[in-house]
Amino acid sequence: MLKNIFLLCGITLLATTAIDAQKFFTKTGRIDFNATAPSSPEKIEAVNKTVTCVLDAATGNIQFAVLIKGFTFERALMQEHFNENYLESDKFPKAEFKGAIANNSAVNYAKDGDYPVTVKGKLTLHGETRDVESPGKISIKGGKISASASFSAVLGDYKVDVPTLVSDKVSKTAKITVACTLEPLKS
Amino acid sequence: MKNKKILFLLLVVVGLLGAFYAYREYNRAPIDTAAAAADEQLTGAELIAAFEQDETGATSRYVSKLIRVQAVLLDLSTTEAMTPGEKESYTLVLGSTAASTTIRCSMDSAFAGQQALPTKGETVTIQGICSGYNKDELLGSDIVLVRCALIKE
Repeated sequence: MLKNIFLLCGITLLATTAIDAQKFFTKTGRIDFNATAPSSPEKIEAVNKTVTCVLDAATGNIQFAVLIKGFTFERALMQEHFNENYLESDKFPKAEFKGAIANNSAVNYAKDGDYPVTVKGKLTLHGETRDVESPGKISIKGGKISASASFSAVLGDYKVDVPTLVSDKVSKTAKITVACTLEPLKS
Repeated sequence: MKNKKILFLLLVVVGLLGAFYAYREYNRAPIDTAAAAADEQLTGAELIAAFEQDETGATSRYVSKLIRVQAVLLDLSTTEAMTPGEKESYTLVLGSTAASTTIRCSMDSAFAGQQALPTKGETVTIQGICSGYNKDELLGSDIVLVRCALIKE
């Protein structure tokens, strides 16, 4: 009986360690960008479905990177202004976040469930890097990990100027929502 | 008096034309990547070699351009819709198993057209906007195309 308990404990420990030691990634993550001003009659929003994200389950380190030109808008003119006037994507082609899940120990990567987390790190956008802290969620289901977070970025902090002429449409604060379904990274 | 009337009418016409142009420009839809003529047409191997050998040169030549590329399909994945009214989307990975760089094509279901989705190993032709080059030693590098459409040749 005691032998069986030890064996079970050993197997559980091995399985947990194997999962914890893994890195998870995706290249098809999604970021929604919304800079619609409250008084705007139309939505100023874009989506990018080519987000790269890597999560180290052992340390909680998480990072994502995105090509600015990969954001798509419903209207061509908005997309052109976004790239040329606001984020200057020729000069600053990428945005990236590097940080960690502050309460990673609260996530049991071996057990299905939804785990509220706090993500802290540095967001680089338009060539400017700022500290970011955001609530998020890690969901585990059948060995797949989904990570999501939503936070606001003050565009002025990243030296993105919103002209007064369009301030009734474009908000000075953008809501950024990240959603990634991660798979184990085979090394 | 007559001259003043003509001038007034001229100003009205110019104003209306300006308003019409502004309205059209404001509501201009993004380029129809399935129907538009490609800026560049090449094979996957040529596109990959261009970015691997000279990233700066390839970026200025291909990024933001409508590219028609023909290559072997290595992988195809589906991403479920996340917002109401949205449809599922696909990611087609093109290239060769020998190269560490691949071409990742993001395609909305509307651009898949009426034809059946291709299967792995099939040679496909895709047309999409090149959004850049993601150099990554850990995950492998990618040339990213968005708003892609499957082209039947």
